[in-house]
Amino acid sequence: MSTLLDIRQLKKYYPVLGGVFKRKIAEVKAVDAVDIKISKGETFGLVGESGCGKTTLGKTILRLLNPTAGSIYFDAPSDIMQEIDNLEKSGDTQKLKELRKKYDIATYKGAMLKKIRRKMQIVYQDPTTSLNPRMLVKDIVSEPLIVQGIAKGEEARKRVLEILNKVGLTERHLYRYPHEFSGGQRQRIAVARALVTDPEFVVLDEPTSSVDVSVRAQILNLFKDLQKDLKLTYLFVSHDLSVVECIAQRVAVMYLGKIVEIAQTEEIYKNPLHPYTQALFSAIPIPDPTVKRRQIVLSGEVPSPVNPPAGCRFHPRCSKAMQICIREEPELKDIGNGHMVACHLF
Amino acid sequence: MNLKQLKTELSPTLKEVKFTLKRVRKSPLSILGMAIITFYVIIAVFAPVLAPPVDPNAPYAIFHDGYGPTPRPPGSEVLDSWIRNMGWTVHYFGTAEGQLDIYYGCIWGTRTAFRIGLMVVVISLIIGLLMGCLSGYYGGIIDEILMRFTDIILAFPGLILAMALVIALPRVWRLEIGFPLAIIGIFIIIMLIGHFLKLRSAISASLGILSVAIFAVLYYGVLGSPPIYTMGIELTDLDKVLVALALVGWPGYTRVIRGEILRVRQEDYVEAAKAAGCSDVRIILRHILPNAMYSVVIMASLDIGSIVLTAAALSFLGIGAPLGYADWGQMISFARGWIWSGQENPWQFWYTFIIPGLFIFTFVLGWNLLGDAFRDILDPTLRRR
Amino acid sequence: MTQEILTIDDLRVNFYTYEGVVEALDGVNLRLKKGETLGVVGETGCGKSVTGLSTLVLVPPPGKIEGGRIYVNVDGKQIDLLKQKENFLRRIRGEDISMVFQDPRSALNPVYTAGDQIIEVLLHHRGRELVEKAIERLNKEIEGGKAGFLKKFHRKTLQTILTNPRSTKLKIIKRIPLLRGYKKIVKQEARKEAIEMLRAMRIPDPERVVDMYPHELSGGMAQRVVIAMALSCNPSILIADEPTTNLDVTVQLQILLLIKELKEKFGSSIIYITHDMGVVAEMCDRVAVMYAGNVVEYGNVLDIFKKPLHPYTKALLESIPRPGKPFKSIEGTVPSLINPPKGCRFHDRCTYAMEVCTKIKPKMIEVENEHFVQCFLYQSISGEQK
Repeated sequence: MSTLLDIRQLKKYYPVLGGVFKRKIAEVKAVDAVDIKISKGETFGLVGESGCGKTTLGKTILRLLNPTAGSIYFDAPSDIMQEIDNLEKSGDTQKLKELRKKYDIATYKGAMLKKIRRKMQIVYQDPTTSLNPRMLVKDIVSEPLIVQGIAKGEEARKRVLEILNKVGLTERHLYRYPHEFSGGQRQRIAVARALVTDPEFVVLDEPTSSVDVSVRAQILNLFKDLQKDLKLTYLFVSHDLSVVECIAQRVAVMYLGKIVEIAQTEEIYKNPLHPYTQALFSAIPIPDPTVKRRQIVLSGEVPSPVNPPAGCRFHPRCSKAMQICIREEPELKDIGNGHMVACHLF
Repeated sequence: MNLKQLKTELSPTLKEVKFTLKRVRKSPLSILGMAIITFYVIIAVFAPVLAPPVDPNAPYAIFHDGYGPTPRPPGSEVLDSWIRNMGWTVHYFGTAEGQLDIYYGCIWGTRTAFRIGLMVVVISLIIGLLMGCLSGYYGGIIDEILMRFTDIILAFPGLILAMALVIALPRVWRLEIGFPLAIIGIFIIIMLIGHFLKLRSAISASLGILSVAIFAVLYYGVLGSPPIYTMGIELTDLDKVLVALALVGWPGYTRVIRGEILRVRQEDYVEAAKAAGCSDVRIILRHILPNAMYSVVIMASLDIGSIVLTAAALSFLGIGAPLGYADWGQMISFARGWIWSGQENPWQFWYTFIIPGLFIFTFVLGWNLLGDAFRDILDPTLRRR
Repeated sequence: MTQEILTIDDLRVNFYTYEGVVEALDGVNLRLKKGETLGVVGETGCGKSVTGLSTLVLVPPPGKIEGGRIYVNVDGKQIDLLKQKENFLRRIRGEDISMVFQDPRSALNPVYTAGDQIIEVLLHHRGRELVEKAIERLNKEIEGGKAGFLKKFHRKTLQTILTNPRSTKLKIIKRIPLLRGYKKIVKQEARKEAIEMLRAMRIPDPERVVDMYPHELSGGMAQRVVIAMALSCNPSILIADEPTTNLDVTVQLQILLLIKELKEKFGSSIIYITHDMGVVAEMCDRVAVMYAGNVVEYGNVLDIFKKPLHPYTKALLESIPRPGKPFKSIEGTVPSLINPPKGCRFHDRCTYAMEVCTKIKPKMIEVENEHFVQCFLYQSISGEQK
């Protein structure tokens, strides 16, 4: 499978201003040097707890937030990526800059940025706040078309109807306001809006968290069907580990702005290697009262991302911490089968 | 089903209106408010019928039945034959000092009240919206500058500033707008030419500035700045009050709008619009403003009442509508000498100030109730959704 | 047979809104046994939160409790809470029945420290005990010779509080600045108690946390503070309304284990309201499944998970996502409770619906040992078991 997104050393830092003159006194390292490759047509799961930076990562990839550093190569052909790899090693910054201007969406500005927005979209967690309560459904869904100059008037209406049908809504829903619908239907409208420009990449930011359990399955089925039908690539950000297990092909675990483990779904759920991943997965309550399993209870809480612990960020809570964990940050290493871990145990 | 049928059958706006009316019907106070305002609207619209003007060219000038200083009670007969011929037989509400008919003043004063209230609020709203939008949406240094400016205006006591402005504004404002107009005109022409020649906007802009600079040098240096076009705007006293109140009133709206915009700006749907590629202007106009407007609308409707009161106060103080103008505040200012001037019965001339006072009171009350009703209806947190 | 500590019979609650009358609870029946954890499961809008609030008679307007009985064992007697006056209820709330809410940040008052809020609860319900403790402490200090006249006076005041709380002398003393120092002494005792509660909640460094404001606390810590408030007076019944829904999964685990531990220690009976079946399986001894304002099935946790009877329970368990299997959802949506469907409220989404289900509402019957269900698949129209 070819790579759709090649994210290299992506950083998103927020300055903390303080003092009389509001100077920068510290930084919140929300996303700290993340490397991910997402293949075309796959569903890539991104899990972690609150404050780990997964939503920030998703939004930074979409350029809804501006990256502090790093590159996001979108749909670059593999030979170009090969050349970029070589140039990075050889240090030829001039040629690298040229290629980056062309393929690295982190450098895009103005008209180029607007154009690339067509290809990547987002579905938010809460459909109540992600739809403008004062706009009709037809306007909400047709807006991206009009803004991108893809269609207007009658043609736009046709396209809107097409996409509404795909998500399971009908013509009757066009002239209504969002509050007249149930939560599940609103989420479908949000999905329709995201898909109307025919994107290739969609970030799903906890799309089922605000929805009832019985409706959740409907929405997940919808995502699966749409992915097959429209050849979409998903980044599924969630803290609901049981849902991610069922829908993603590969999963990455984030902690305090860094990726600690990436692997195929089955592999990572069966055989989590990083101590944090192990604790995280063991904490998922299993809906079966007869199953008792060993639960790893982590002490303390997630520390604040303003002052992350030195060395490996997880070491204060890790039961297997060693001397080296306090000094050095572990690299994300491939230990076989595409299973990558950032831990000194490996 | 074709489109037209769909639209009328399921029109959501109609549903919204129906729901709003249902809410209003259930609250007796808001019905009272609407009733009062409707009553005044009818009076204002039918003023020429209810109180036919004696001098059709100046309907706002209250006719005076003679020149006697002492007010006459309601029901007194009209003495002047000319006025009798126009159809007036009796002074329904009596006369005030100088024999000005109170009934006539109150009826036509309704029009004045609406004019002042609505115009001031509209102007304040426009300025406030503009400043608040820029401040709230862009933040940063723009926000700082605009907000400090607003703070400066707010630091002045409103009524006093309004008084000062009314006195300071000239009767006839002569504006030399020729030179600025010429500069803008030249710049625009150059930009248009550049656009047609498909030059980069930066290039045409620089050319425009160059030509403007040349023109300025010629104008001042060679020609010695002759006037090109002078405009005189004539401001009546009432207009001055209008402008003054508007200039004093906009900071309140700015702050409220700015707050609302700050709140709406972080909603998900605004970010989704950005993700679709919307420009800033489009986001402000289509997404932020429609959601931020409601508190301002409520504030505006409550304000209309208080503006009328302030205008009445200014008239009472003598700064405002001229003598004999149909304005409620004016009429009370007339009555100043007759509220109690030493006679045994202090209420002898009650009709000179109580009747116009009642008009003001109920007008303001009506708008206040209406404003409360709007707030209850339009406040999204109180609605059932 | 373990004793029943809370019995809800035929509870009906309506909400009078602009849209119409929402029949939120339509005859809810629940029984909580002493020492057990009862799970109340259901989706949004099924009425589980309203049930929890009704137990404390705290349904907010436009809601109104329209019928039913809530029996609680207070001081050995069975009392119907719905017939009691507000004074009595105020005594019960926090002392005999306590509630923990979903969002800890909004359950805590942002302008008071965590300690202040726990102290408030303690002073309200355990005031006497604290005054006694304060007198004891003062006694020790006076005997040790470390106390001056003022402290002796405070001791006198505190003793008066115990014997004659409404005396006029007390009313006067309350207003004189120096002499009201006795309040501070009692507060100090309360503060000590609060710190101990926080320690029991396994909050590290409780002396520091007791002076922190809610916005300085993380979600997990804030929820522990709320639980501390709820348990500070050792209530016999604790109602937990989705206490871990807003928390991260590792923090949720900590809190769940904490609740289990505290249940052992304090011997409380818990009503655990949630929509997460996994949590139910972890925490609960018995489960009540709610749909659209009714309890449709009720039994012990093994029966509910392994032998579900009601079609809704079955569908709910099937819709839990499992890897490798396609997602199964329940067709349709929860009906509007303004004009609820006649008969069984689930009939329009039920795969087993029969003619009778659209007309008559089934009764709650016991199908096997302590396993109740409300469905015509298991009973005839007259209510006899099939």
